[in-house]
Amino acid sequence: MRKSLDQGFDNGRVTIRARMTRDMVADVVVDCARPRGVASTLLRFAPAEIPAIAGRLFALCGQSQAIAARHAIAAALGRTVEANAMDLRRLAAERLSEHLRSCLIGWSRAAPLNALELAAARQALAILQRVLADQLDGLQDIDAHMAALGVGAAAPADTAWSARLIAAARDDAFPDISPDALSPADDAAVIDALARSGDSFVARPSLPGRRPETGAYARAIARGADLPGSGFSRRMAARLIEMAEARDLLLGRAVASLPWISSGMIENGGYAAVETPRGRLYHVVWRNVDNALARYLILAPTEWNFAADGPFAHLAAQARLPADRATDSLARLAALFDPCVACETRVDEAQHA
Amino acid sequence: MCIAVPMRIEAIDGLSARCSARGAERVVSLDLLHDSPLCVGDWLLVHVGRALKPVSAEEAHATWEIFDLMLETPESPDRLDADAQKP
Repeated sequence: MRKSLDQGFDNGRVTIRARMTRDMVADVVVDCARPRGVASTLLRFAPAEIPAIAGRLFALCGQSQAIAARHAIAAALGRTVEANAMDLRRLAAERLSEHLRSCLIGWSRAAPLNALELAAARQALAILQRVLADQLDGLQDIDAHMAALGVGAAAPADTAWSARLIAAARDDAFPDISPDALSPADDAAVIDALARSGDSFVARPSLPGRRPETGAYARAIARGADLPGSGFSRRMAARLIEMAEARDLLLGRAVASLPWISSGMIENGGYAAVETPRGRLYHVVWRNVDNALARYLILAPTEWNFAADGPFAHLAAQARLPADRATDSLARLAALFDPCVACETRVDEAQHA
Repeated sequence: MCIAVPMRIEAIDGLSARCSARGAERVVSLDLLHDSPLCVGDWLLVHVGRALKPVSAEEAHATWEIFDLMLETPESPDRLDADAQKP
């Protein structure tokens, strides 16, 4: 990590570089640059302090990070921790909050909100911030705010923001490829690769013969959800469905349809995997011969989705993109994958002989 | 990973603020904190140019202490990393 904010306190960046030939995009190169070795900083603290510090440090999904740390450390120290109602409530609040925030930031230009919708979205975010701090006053109002946005309605009107978001996400330049969902069945392979290759695997995760994707769309496909629309609209629909499910969980109307937290002991350590808003997050911890925590790795979902040969790169490379649409279309695709770092899209002229 | 940085508000202009941390300044969007009462001197948690939420000065300083530890940590301290394959 660089030394000061002035030098660019660098918390990572996804760079998408498209090269064109004859006014069409010929290829797309994706680079996901991240600070490395950050998780090892956690080892400077007492095990009991680490969950709160992980939550503070990785604040975008702070609840997911804190919960993953708590479960992984407990497993590494030979204890079992059951996911409790408070964990699930916090994860549901974070999922709804982050999906809503991402839609506002990434899509409010393509699907502008009217004044009432904007007020509802802001009030919902404010309530969710309080829920994340375990203040539940006003939680019931989430229902009305989501309804104002058309989220969770059985048949939202075409004019509802949720319907406008789905319409705005349509893009026929990209093929409709079903995702290879990263799932709990992959945990053993992922943890084995982390044990063997450490930070190199964190930087470039891959599984043999696979191109795993993680996040709302992959989760929806994995559980056979009925998604309306086609192509990218289905990706947006998956996010909106998760927002409605998270709302229902918060209001006690539903139970989680897939496990949100997995954890367990491994040789000389423990792990936890948490389904964060952006996908499956791993914390893996090993102890030394003195039973002290000695090695800590965190693998974030963005690393899978924006791997050099990952699902984003694969979709982008198969697109039929005219050059004048390339920057916008690639940026919209990136917004659907929702990276947890800054994202830059560049379109360059190819060198002609 | 999803690292957000605490920054102090130096000036507010509508839905944006000039914020600083460790001698550097950034213009930060406040559009998601429209209803939060914010003043010069308050601290914000900032991610990719947007304020996520206000934080206390105490929490901001505690977070920066962790960042300082991160800055002292070698880039790739994982013990097996040196043997790992290069791309």
